[in-house]
Amino acid sequence: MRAKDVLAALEEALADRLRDSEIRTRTVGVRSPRTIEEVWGRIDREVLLKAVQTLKDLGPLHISIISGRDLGEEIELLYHFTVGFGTEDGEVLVTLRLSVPKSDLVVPSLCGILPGAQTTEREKIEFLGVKFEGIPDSRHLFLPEDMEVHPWRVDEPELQGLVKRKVKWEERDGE
Amino acid sequence: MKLSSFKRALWVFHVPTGSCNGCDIEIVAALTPRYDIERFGIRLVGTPRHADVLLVTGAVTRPMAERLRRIYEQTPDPKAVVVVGSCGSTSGVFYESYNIVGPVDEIIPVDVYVPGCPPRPEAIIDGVVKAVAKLEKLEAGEPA
Amino acid sequence: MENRTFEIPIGPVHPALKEQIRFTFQVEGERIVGVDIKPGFAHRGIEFMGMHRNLIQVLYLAERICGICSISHPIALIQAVENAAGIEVPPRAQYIRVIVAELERIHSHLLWAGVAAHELGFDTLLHLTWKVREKVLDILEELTGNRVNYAIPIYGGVRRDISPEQYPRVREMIRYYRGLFEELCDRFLNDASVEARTRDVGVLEPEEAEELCAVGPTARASGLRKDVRQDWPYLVYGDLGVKAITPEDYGLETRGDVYDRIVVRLLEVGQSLSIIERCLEEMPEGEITSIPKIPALLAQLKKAEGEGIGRHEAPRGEVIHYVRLEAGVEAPVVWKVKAPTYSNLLSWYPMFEDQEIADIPIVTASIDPCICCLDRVHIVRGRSEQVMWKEELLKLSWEKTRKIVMGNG
Ligand code: SF4
Repeated sequence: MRAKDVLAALEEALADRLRDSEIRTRTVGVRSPRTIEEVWGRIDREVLLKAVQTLKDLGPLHISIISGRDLGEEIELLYHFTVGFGTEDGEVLVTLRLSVPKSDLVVPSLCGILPGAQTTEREKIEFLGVKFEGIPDSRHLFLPEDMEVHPWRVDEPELQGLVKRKVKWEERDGE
Repeated sequence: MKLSSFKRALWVFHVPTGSCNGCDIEIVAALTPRYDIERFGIRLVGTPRHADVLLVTGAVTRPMAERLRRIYEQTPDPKAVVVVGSCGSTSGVFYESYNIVGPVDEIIPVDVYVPGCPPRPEAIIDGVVKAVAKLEKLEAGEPA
Repeated sequence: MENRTFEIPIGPVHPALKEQIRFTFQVEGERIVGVDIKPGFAHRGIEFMGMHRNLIQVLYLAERICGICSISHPIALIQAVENAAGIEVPPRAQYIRVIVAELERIHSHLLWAGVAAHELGFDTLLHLTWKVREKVLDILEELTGNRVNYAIPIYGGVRRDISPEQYPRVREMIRYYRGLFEELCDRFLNDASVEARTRDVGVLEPEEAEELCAVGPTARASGLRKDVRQDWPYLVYGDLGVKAITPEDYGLETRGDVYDRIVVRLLEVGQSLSIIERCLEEMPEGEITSIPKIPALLAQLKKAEGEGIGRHEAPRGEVIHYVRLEAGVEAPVVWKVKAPTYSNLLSWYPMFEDQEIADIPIVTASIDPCICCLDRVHIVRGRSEQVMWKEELLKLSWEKTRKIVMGNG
């Protein structure tokens, strides 16, 4: 699998719902240098499932992780997939970026297409407060069930109260 | 203190409270043939109710604090607590997080600190032996 | 008679993952009919802490995500940061990173093999494997100065060179393990009781492994040829021609059970030995870091703007770090870490289905979440609560082995 094939398939399926797409390459190796390729692009959440289905049709699909960031008014989610493992140098890293406004923090869940996405989606629920439509299990995973704050949000005043600033021996040092 | 003064075999319970595993594997390494802590009669047991010494590792996460306290209470007296590793002793690299309430000595009383990240198995054995000294004093009715 | 389902919670004292874990099993008699998994007891908020510190401090934090994978996370992190900031790495440093990473794989797989033997009640084998494991720890200590948490990689290179006097010692270690390899395989793979306890236990079908996005030896033992070193050759792995290993390479038909996971891990120890040997031969002379001065490095990182991804095949599978840097900010504005067990968490569900209670320890250990796992079990029967400790659970497992051995005569 090559990055240009992945990008072409995404472009065909999503047309203008795919923006800022690019292929980033990197040269690795010393004796026989080769390039490894990454596909990056921004999509709308309406076409997320379609995009993932397109990737899945291309070859074995693996979701590594969803990373996210609080941008103030909106939350940016980055879906990191890999397509086509199993052959030497044959895997393409695909990152799809999408933004969701805080007023309507809902994203379709990938679990129907890719059940392996559940762990990382549950993590985003607790850390960023995103809702996933259609996720089979939305309980907290890493944080205690009764913890309501979302640690990666910037608008969480209570979070600071939970953070322990000093341990006792440091205070003793200052004496 | 001489090793011949050991009065009895010492049973140890290991409690990880949010460690990175580095200390935990070194504790297990202390049991295996090269270090062989069992030749002193020291062995790991599966429940605190049988233990004389608690080996605590990790910076104590929020959900583990309560459990650590409970495990401490379940351990019969006289008992000694050994903290293995820098992050259990002082928080180490794990400071300023929403989920860390340690170090260990803010949750339960600690007798011996073994610094190092992780400490070598020899140091862990040394820490346990120091705890023995305390236990024997306690049993003899002396202040520890 | 109506079947009654009981619940057994296990945990949460379990240092395996970034997080500690609790299992709640539903059992009918001895059969497991359902399981619920709750990690998070060792959640230290590492990513949160990292997003409030400078990148050099983050490196030390990354090392302490897991003491067993203590070079895997730094390797992924530095690649992500090097991509984001456009830092070059000298060739020699790339080889040194690979050598230390493969040494770590050897120590981790041997550690796992010992733990697996212990869960089966085969403590002789535990002590044997951990005894031979000390050799690789000696070499790690010799090369890096510490047995665990090596602090070798730094952005732009590595912090210590391997000197010519050290080469023969590393080669001696390779010979030592080669000499032991057959015996080790024989002890594990040709032992009737090991086979009886692990064959067709905790099966993960290839389709399940693919759908649930399993990684590392767990995926490979189910027949998926999935290995970051092969699929996405980073550092110098492309030059070394690493191939993913499945049980077929040992002349076995892949069944995706615990036995296959033992096979894959043992073969990977052999593979790592060959990789290290080749690295020692091919490693060019030269610089080991492109920015030796830490203040200069920090200044450059502070100026950097961009994002990057780093991946590494840790002993347990794929590690991936995503980093976003902004100019003028010392801390990464986003740092996302994925540890391999995170991906393998879901594979536990199909593995546990229809197993016996006595198989819990070995199935849990089989994805290699790490050492001392189950700490205590509560068996709730009707209203009365009975506490079952790790020891008793292990005893159940050991008794099962004994019965099998006696049964075989
Ligand atoms: S002291 Fe260091 S090695 Fe030990 S658990 Fe803490 S961070 Fe890990």
